[in-house]
Amino acid sequence: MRIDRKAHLIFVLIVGLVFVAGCWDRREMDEIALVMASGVDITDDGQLELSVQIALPTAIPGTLQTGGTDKKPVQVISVKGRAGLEVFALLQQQLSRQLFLGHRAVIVFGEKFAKAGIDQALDVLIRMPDSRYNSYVLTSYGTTAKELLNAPYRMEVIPAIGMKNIEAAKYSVAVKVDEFISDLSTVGKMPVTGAARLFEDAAGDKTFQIDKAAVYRGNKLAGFLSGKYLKGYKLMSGQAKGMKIAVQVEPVREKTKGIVTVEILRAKTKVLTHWEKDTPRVTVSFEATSRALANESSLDLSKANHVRRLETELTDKLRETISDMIAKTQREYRSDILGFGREFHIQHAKEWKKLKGQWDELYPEIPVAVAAEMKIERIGRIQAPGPLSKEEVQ
Amino acid sequence: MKKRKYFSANPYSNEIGKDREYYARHLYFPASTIFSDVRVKSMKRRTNRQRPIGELLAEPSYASDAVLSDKLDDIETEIRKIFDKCADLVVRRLMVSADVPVMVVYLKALIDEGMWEQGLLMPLMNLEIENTQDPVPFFARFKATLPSSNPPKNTSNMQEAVRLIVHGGIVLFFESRKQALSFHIDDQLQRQLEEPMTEAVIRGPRVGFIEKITVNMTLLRQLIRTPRLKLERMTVGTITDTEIVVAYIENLAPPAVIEKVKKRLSAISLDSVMGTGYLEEMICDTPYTPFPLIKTTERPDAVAGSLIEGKVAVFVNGTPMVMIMPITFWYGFQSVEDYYLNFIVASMLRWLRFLFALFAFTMPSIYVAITTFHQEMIPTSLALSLAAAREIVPFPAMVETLIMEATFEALREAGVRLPRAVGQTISIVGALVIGQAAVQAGIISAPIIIVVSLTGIASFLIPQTAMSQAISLFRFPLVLCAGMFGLYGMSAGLIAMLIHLASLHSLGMPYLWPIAPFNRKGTLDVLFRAPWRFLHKRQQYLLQKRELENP
Amino acid sequence: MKLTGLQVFWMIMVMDLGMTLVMTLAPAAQAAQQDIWISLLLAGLSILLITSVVTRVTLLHPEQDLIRFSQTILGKGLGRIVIVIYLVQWYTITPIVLRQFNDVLHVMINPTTPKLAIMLIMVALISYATYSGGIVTVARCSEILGPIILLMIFLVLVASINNVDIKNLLPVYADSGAAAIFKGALPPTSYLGHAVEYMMLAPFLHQPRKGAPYAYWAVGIASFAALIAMTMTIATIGPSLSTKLWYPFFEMTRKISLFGFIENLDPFTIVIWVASVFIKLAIYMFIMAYGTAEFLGIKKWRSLIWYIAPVVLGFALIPQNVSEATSNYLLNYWVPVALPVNMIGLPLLLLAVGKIKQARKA
Repeated sequence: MRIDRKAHLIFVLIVGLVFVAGCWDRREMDEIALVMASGVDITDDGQLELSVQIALPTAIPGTLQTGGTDKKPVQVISVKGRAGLEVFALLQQQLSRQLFLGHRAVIVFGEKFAKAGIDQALDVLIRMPDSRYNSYVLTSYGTTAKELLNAPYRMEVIPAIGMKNIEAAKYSVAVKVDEFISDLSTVGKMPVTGAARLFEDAAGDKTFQIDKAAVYRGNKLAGFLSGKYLKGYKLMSGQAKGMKIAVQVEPVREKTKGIVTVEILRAKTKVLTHWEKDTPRVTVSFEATSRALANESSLDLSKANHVRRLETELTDKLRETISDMIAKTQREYRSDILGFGREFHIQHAKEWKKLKGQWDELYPEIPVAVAAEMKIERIGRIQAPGPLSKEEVQ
Repeated sequence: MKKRKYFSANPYSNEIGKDREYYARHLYFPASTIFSDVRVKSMKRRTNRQRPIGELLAEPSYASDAVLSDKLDDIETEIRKIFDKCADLVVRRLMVSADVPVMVVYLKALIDEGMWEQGLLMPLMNLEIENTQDPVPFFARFKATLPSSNPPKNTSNMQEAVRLIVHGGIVLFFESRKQALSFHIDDQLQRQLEEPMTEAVIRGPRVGFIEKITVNMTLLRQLIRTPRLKLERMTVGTITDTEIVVAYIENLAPPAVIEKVKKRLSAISLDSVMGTGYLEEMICDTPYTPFPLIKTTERPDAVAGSLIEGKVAVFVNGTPMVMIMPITFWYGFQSVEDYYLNFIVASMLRWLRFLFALFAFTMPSIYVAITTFHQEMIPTSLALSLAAAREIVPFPAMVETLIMEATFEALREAGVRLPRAVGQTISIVGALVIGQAAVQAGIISAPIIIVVSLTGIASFLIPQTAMSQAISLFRFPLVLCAGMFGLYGMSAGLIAMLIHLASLHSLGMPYLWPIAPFNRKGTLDVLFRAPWRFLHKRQQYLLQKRELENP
Repeated sequence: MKLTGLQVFWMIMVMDLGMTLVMTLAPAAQAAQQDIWISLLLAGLSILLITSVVTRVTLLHPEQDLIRFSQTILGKGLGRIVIVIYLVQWYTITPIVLRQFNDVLHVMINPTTPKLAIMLIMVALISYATYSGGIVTVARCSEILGPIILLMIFLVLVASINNVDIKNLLPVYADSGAAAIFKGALPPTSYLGHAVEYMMLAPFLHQPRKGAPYAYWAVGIASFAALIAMTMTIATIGPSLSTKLWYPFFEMTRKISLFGFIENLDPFTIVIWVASVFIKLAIYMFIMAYGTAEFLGIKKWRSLIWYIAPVVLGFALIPQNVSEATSNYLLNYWVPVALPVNMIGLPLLLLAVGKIKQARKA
């Protein structure tokens, strides 16, 4: 009984002591520097240059603090150093507040840095307990990450949030850190990120735009996809929904441009891999349904044969777009961004064991057949094109 | 272990047995009522024993156990000695039926004068009775022929007679009879029956208990018309001699619980009992907990409903509050009104209460844990505005929260005690000065005001005040835990509280029943308010049988 | 001290599920990769077998716990050796679980809080729970926390459905093979094998003879939940990355994003997971204190808690880092020794000898 009581007391005392000494991981909201975006560049002498865009909460209008509205709501700081975490420490030295990565919306890899290989930055991405998976990965195009982070953006208070929202709307390709890392670590699939560049808006201000996709080969940047190649990639990577495709169905006439625009409603892609005579072969099929958005031709879409004609045109266009894109990744970038290797792994697991090691070399040589099919499901509110008289409609 | 000294009043003896004799000689009450259970039970339920501080004041002895003297003069002398300096004492000699000398003794302050005159004095004076020498037939005849609605009570010892007098009786002493008759003519002075202020309902009876136990018993009897409703009288308090009544319905209330309640009540050795709080602490299983292990209510319908469920109620004279036991944790979140409302609405209300009780309990600590440890969980835009709001605040979030929570509790307490007119001022001062000014001055951040006021509102949603207070109390250590270790500290705090709750019992009933230990039928009245046709209130005893029999 | 069947169900379930999910996913995935679900099916089946042996053993002497019936069945000397083997298991697994728990918090949410502080709080909690009401309090706590933990896992899984990529589970069997799948089944089996503790809990039941179905259900549901959760984790994170992370299950919750607003929920899931560790450790604490007291013939088993608690804490401080606590113990003692001996061998021995003795008597 007595020993019980003493032990009791000692125990309570020790626990109490722990509490008194407490507060190890505590950081107040006003003691942290909220990193909204970070960027990595490489300098000419091979050093890493880390830039961070830090939000300054007091300068954000709409909160309690009055005045200071002309203050810039973000601050960009950059620092040069050798290794990832070491640079982080150098960065920390410059700041009165502790860097906090939990709200990082965007990670930007500078073009030059990406071309040299992104290994060093990767470990930092996952090892730190507070870095989140939900930040988007971007690659800069024609500029450095530092420049991009410095570019103002009018629409949002914090430029990084602007980047995040643009990415979330998937105008280019939207890739988050977790997807990026998972692609990197999977054999038979290469990572892709969105690519941003600087441009001057109508008012002459410098701002950024995300209009390309960066293709990686392993951990190195191989090149960029833009225009129809980007479109082709998006079609094949499950981001086709809502995409608008314009197709020339007839030559330009006096009153009509001969173009019909459709929006994709549903799309299905299938990658079939074949193993014949010890050589791999890939068949890609793309099926989509769409609705007509704008008809600037003389076709009357309420007629079945006209719709069929449109469908054939669209199908041809799709096939061309996709196979051009695949050809570009094979010839130029030699990067399997569509994950054909992974499909091989799934469909021909035994053969894959042999292929696995040499897949990167093999990929550019693989024959790829593309099949596409497009169906028009809805034609909109008007049957025949509006501005044309009855005779002009075919 | 060394034997502890329980009473040290007698300087010559350390032994309990001798103490007991000492007290028996010097106390007004038979020693058995004081010591009956204390010593035996004290080893087991050490906590509920009254601990004497230093030397105990010896009570002067008033009257001997001896039979009454047969001389009225002797009796008068003794009575006057006992009631020395009692201005309201009335001693009056009467001559009943021409040749029977009677002495009437009562305390004027306690007697209803009208009733005394109409109901006893008049019939007494008109009484005609043969003055036989043998006392037994005399008293039988006296009782039989007296035309009074008030049944008399025989007594033959002075101690008992004095007791009856202080309880509002009129005692008639007879010359050379060695016996006295007492009539209970209590003053009917009482408060009007009113709607209880603390437990208002929208759809339900509007009557509440009052301070008079007899009226309260009437109110209960009017609701439950069965002879199976048992009302057992006892008294506690060595000085106040407070009347208490243990009420239960035979066959519905578990005998073990009734036994336990009676045993614990009779073991109480307090000087005074002014309200239920005195007894609550003495008879519950563990007094060292802020959670109510016994429910108190001033609504007759609530008591009646609980009795039907097989609970035991204890009425205490002098307070409108009635204790109900055994109860569970979930009673704190139930209101009688639940049973008057549509069951769907009532179930929804219960869930709302549970939700807000959780808010009331955890909101401040969640705020502290998330804003100081897990900022990545906050949505980015919210994080930015929180950071901006905190920018010029000098205190850490934990300290800030504690300050504001304490301020809120202070405001609440101030509001309760103050008269209504001043209460308004308090709320203005509270809202304007604390809320507005502190934020504008940058001493306190705005989000914390939101958190604290939400917490406050949430705590008012808990119907039982005792439960609401317990929950408010635990909020503070939880904020500390959260401030030290973040969500881990908070979860540790919550688990510690869960352990505490799980180890509590109310009169042998697990406090978290029917959730833990789980009972499917029991949950119908806890998680929901099931429709009446599924809600077999009377079956509660059967449902709880296993827990009560295997504590 | 009496328990209900449902309480035993929740206790075994929580004890099995929490740690299995968090601790064995990475080692199992390293061996079996995307075929981890086959491993888990295998583990679930073997656990059901172990449970059937264990429940049968308790039926031989339903009123006695392991400490007493092993002496009744095997005789004083041999019985005591068996008890010592089990005591070794309990006295080693408790500090290790405590340490593993501490490592999870270190890696995931509280990186700079000293380990002593984290573990001390947990030890204080389990001591309080076992001291205040013995196994009954622990049982009641698990009856409340159990459903919450299960609900947490369920919600995490539902919220993660968007992130699942079934292709991560393909190709089936081709990459791993039978040996790898079997190897992958070992860690989960050893962690799910806590059904053995049923031998200590059964005599506390109101009706010890009717406890078996609860044990089966507990083990079954725990294995099933672990199967679903682990499969979904692999499908979400991918086999290649899962093997590189310490606690893939929490990484999966970190990926949850609801409406682009509720994100990074892992601290919440970790906090709820803390509850399952608490239940597990509290049960061990009770078994250790009660078992040791019974073994040594000490009457006040509660007093032993004050000796056991510092010992557990001290042992838990010994391992140098995460890998030592998690992998070394698992690979060097738990899987090669505890699994075949304590979970399979000894219950079988007890069952066989007990049955023979009973048959002889009849």
